[in-house]
Amino acid sequence: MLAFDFFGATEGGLFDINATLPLMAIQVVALTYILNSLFFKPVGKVVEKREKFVSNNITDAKNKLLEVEKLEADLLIQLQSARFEAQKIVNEAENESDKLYKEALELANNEANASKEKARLDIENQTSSAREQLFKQADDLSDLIVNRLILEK
Amino acid sequence: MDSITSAASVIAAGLAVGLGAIGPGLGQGNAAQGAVEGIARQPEAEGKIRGTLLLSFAFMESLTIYGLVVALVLLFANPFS
Amino acid sequence: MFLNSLPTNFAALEVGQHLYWQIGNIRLHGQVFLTSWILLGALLVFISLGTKKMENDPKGLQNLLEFLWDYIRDLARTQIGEKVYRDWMPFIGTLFLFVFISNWGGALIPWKLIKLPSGELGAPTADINTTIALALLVSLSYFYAGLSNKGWRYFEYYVHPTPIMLPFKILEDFTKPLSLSFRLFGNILADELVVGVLVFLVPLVLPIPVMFLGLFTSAIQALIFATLAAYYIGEAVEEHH
Repeated sequence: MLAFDFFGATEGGLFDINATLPLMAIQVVALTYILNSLFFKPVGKVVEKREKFVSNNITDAKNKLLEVEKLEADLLIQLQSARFEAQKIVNEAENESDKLYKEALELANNEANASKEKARLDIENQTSSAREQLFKQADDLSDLIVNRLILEK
Repeated sequence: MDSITSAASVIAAGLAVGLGAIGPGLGQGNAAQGAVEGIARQPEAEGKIRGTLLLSFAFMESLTIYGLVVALVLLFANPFS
Repeated sequence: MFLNSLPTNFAALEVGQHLYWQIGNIRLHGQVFLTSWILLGALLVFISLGTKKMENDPKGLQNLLEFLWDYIRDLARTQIGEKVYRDWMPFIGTLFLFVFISNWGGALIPWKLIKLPSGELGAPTADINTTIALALLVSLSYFYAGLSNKGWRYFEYYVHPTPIMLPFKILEDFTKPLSLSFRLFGNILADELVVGVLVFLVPLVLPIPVMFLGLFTSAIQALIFATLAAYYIGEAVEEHH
């Protein structure tokens, strides 16, 4: 019955709706335009410029980092191959010197063996010839003794 | 205004706020429980959970506020006076 | 009025009292405009000071304003979506700033020291006219956003999952501004009333925590108002498939 009375019919009141409403709406719309030109646009421009700047720098840095990583990988590969090469050369040299050493050792051994053998042979020869001589002398001596004994008799 | 209307308005205002506080109270309790469990499970998400919790608190709070508005209408802008 | 018989008894609060301005045939609530002009003037001075000398390396006020801008952009972007948030960001930001400075200005500035012939100065958002104006602006803007983005296809939204939803969706168009305006109005008025009653009962120390709670609620309400406005606009421009 009185349900709509409190919407402004009475003087004052908590729910007194009047021309304040549309004027406030107009004020807020005006404020939107003012803030847009005074705050949102300029600040947005600055912030977005900086964001662009930062993101460009980040992409640049990322690209550079990628490049550096590629170079590093290249260098690593080169280094590895160089190391491998060096190792190979060292191995080869070692093998070579080993072979030479072995050869020289064998040669020396052979020579030593040969001269040893020769010396042994020499000694044997001399021994046998000395023995023969000794036998001959013993024969001679025994002959002499026999002869002398015979003569004395 | 006659005294019967006044008495009824005052009682109704009290009931509007008091009854209106029950549901949001339970709801806020539930929400806080969920948020605490969430933080315990994922402490790194605390900031996000807190933000969402406060926002949902305000939504539940506004239910009580509707009751309060009704109470205020009854007390200060009584349509039946 | 119910409490007209005992108006001065109620914590010296003048609920529902207004400073009337009569211009021709129309009547205005003067205290709402007075406080809002003071607060908006302060806001505009603050903003023009901060944006006077924009640099690439922000300092001082510019830093704060950029933070604010970023905050509002995030809010608008998450609720409205990547596509059209740019058009609505000023509106959402203005709503947020207006509600925020109104709430905080009403709570922080000791308006009670200024005596008016009738009514008292306070948060502009504690007046139902202001909040309904804001809520109706939100309603208009989401209709406008939907219609300008999708044309007549906007009305597909009303029958979106099934045509059964039609009455509920139409009802929603009325409940949205209603809940928006009453939520803000109720929260801010309740805050002022609670602080007023407590100050009346215990003038020392005790009201301070309640005041802080009020400041917190005020800030959250500003955030909620802006978030919901953005959400409604986002809902209107969203494409259904």
